[in-house]
Amino acid sequence: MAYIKFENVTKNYIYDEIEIKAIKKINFEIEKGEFIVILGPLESGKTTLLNLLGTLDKVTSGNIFIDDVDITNEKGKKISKYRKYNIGFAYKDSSLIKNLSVKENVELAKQVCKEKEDVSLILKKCGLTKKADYYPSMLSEEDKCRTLVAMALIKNPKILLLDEIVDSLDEKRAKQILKAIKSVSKKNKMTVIITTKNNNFIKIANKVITLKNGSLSDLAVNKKIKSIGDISW
Amino acid sequence: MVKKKNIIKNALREISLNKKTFISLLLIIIIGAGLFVGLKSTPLDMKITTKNYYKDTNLFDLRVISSSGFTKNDIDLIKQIKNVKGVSLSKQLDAKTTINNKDFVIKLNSINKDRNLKNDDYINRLTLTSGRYPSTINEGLVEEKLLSDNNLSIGDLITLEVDDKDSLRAKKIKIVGTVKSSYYALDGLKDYFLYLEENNFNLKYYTDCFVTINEAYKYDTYSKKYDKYIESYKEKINEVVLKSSKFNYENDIELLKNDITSLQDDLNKFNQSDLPVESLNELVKETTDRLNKKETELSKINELNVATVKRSDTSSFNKYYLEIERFGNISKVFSFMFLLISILVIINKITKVIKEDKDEIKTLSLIGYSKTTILFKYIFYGTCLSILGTFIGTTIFYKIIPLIIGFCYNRFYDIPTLDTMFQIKYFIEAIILSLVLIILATIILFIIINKNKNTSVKKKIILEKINKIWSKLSFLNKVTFKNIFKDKKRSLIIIIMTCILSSLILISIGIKDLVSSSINNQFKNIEKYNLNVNINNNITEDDKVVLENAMIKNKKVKDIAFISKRNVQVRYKNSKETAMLIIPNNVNNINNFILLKENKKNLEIKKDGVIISKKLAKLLNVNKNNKIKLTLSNNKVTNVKVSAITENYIEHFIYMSPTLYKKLTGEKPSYSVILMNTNKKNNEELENEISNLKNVTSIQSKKNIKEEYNEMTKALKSITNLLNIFTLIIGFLALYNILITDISNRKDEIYTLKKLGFNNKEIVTYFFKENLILTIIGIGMGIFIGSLITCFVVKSLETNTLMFNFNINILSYLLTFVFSLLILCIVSIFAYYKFKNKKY
Repeated sequence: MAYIKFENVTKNYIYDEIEIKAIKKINFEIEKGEFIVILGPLESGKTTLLNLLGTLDKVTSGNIFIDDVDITNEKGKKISKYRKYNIGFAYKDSSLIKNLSVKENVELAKQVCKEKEDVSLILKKCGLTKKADYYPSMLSEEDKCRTLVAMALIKNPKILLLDEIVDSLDEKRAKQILKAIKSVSKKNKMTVIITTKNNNFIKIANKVITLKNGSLSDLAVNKKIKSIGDISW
Repeated sequence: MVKKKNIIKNALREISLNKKTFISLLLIIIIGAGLFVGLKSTPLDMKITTKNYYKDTNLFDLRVISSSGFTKNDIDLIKQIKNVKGVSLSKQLDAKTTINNKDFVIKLNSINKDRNLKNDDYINRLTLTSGRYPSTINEGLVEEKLLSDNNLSIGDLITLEVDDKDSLRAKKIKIVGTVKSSYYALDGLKDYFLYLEENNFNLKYYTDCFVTINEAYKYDTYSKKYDKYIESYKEKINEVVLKSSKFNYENDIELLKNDITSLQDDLNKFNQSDLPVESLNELVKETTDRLNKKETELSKINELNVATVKRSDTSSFNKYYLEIERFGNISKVFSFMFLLISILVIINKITKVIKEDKDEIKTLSLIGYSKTTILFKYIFYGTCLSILGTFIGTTIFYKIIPLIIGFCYNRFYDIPTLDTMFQIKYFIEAIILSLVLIILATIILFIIINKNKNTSVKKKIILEKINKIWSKLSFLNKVTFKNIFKDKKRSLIIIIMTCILSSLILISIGIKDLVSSSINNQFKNIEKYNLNVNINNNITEDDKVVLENAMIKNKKVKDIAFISKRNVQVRYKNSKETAMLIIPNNVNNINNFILLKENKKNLEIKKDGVIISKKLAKLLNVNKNNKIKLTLSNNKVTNVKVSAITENYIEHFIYMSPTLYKKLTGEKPSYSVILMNTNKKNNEELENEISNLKNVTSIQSKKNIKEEYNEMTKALKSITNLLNIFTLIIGFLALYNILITDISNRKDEIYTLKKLGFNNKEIVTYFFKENLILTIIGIGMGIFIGSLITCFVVKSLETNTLMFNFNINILSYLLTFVFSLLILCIVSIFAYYKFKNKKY
């Protein structure tokens, strides 16, 4: 069976007395070690989908399978434990802990992993060695994104979820981060899922899931995967 | 114009968009301001209620005490004095009764025959609360408490025991009604009273006389003016009563002496007669018995004593007045702190709002609004809360709080339910205090937060520099400390809040501790004797030996000491006090009866100086080796050296050796008091046996006096417990509000932690560690400040004759620590559940 499987998943939620149908009956499968891009314009449900994938939220109907286990109705504690050790997040609108430096933020992320990766190694891979002692209030947007990625990578998770993390960066810097992600993920056979508005990333992904208004409008498998260096926009 | 309208709209939006927050803050200041106004209003309410009660029940202005009693004649004599409004006489006796196998002392009092409310001579009026007045001598009226305490009801019988069986005609009394008596209202509810028909008392004289003075009601009974007004009538009444009492007294002694002489004559006759032996012995025995009885009676009649006392001279009236003063002093601290706590919560919230609006404020100033206009929103928010909260709080609590406190005291004093009065003074105080503090804090915080201060985040915290400790901490603990030191405002608010709460807890526990430990010390360690026996001061040396032997023979008596006890005036420089001069017959064993010590060292009464009690020394401002002026009872003034100062908490004492007394006055002191150490603490039987001995005039049991002082501590304990409950309630609400605000402030942090994989338990631990460290710092400060305030408050509870020591028990500190931590834990649990249910 596929590593991650979504079966007829629907997600509705109520925000300020309005019911929002965020995800409408989505089906797809993801294999282990794949690099997945979720494409879609604003308000298409990308973040919600990512939250469901990352077990941060529960489905309204349908089933989710991860690693052959139906996690749809699992108890919260079990799920938290699974998420803690196996899923890494780098969301664009996350904030860093403002009282801690870049290095300390990454160290904080390290507290929850079982295998100890080297902090300085990860910082080097993400290009943060020079800024290791900087505090969040002093960082630019792209440094912040890089730090968030570092915090996710240090856990060496099985599933890495990124929400629009490179969308605000320019080409050179975006590629740098994507290279770092790809190199670490390939080594440890991480399944990487990244949401973006940028079409150009289709070319480096194994699968592309396109969302429109909460429904799956396209699921494309990429036969000719290009390397990151080859794409440009 | 548009600018202003927008600003006001913006300010109102902050409230209307966050209704829940506004209401929860409003609730806290309602409680804080309400407690402030309520607690501060209570003393005056207590005074007014009792004033009105005394006026309505025509309570006496003066009470006359005469050791030889009163007759109806005295009424007319006293009424001849100008401005005397009414005079009433009553017959009173102490009796015992057993109800449900428990023994009680019951005070018997005669009911006024003429109970017409227009009768000025009907003083100390009763209020019938159920049933009816007695119609025969076999019926009586009791207080409601006697019925409810003992499961009795109207119609039940109680049996009375009196020392002199003949003094009461009917001893089986049927309860026909319940009354409230303002005369007994302040007695502290320890003994019951029973009102009987006057005809039931078979006494030659009336035992008590009460007088009211015209226009006395115009004065505030608690004021010095009233005391001064009433004082001026004392002498005149004393004069009148002394004259007629003297006549009765001399008459009685004459009669007794005549009886004794005639009985002695009878005895002589029998001894010289020729009657048969048996009947002779019987007659002799009978006559000797009667003779002994009469002689004992004569020996018990001490000097004629007439005194007139006003209300504030009676211990029960004073006691209640002191309760009011005490409560006033204690509640000053609590009311201020409660208000402060609620103000802090509001300031905390305003800080948060200003922080959140930081960008908006930058934008507004870029647009062109002045800082003052922008500031308006926050000042408006704070002002709204302050005025609305104080107004609502006062309206709700100005009645409720005094009623609750009054209810508390009603367990000890039989006062009617409090009349509550709206006292605008405290309402204004509350508004001004809260407005000033909130507005000031808002302005200061606004300025601080809107300065661009990014550099402070870079610096290392102090703890980081101490490598020894820092290197040993786990990473997560390092984060905890970083968070504490870098977010100073938040840390400060939590520290201040827990500081205030723990100091309040310590104050209420500490007051109880210090007051009861001083009283226990006095009656356990200092006054070691159990009974104080007064004897006839005209006793002969031979009779003294007889008495001594009789006492020592009694197995219940451990040891006795003869002392002389007299009131003296003491002067030092410009200070003047009254004290009790005690001269023990045997200076070597006085420490077995009254422990004289200074700083754990026992003192000896030396031949060249006196030992005075600590409070007396303080009041006179006198030190060792100073010379004080004593005015002895024969108006002789002498100078004596103070050789030592002894630890003592109640009343003033001066201890002198007989040698010194003889040297100063040329006379030997008259030993008219015997202090008795007994083998047991409960000495009722012994008291009876001793009081029947010849030449014994009266006995006071230390147990009774100790109970009176314990009553005072009981009411105090009750009040401090109540204040403790208020503290816990408002403390819980305030701390909860602050922690919740903190959590919602750090939503982003929590979100990030969750994403990193921290589960709920770990996130809670993360926050709890910070709060725990801050709380412990706060408790430490609170204990320090609290113990200072406790000593300060307890000092204000001291009276002229009562002092306390200031060593707070370690247990009190421990309890404070535990209670304060408990509040944090419970609040954290509630906050956790609120946070757990939120979706991130």
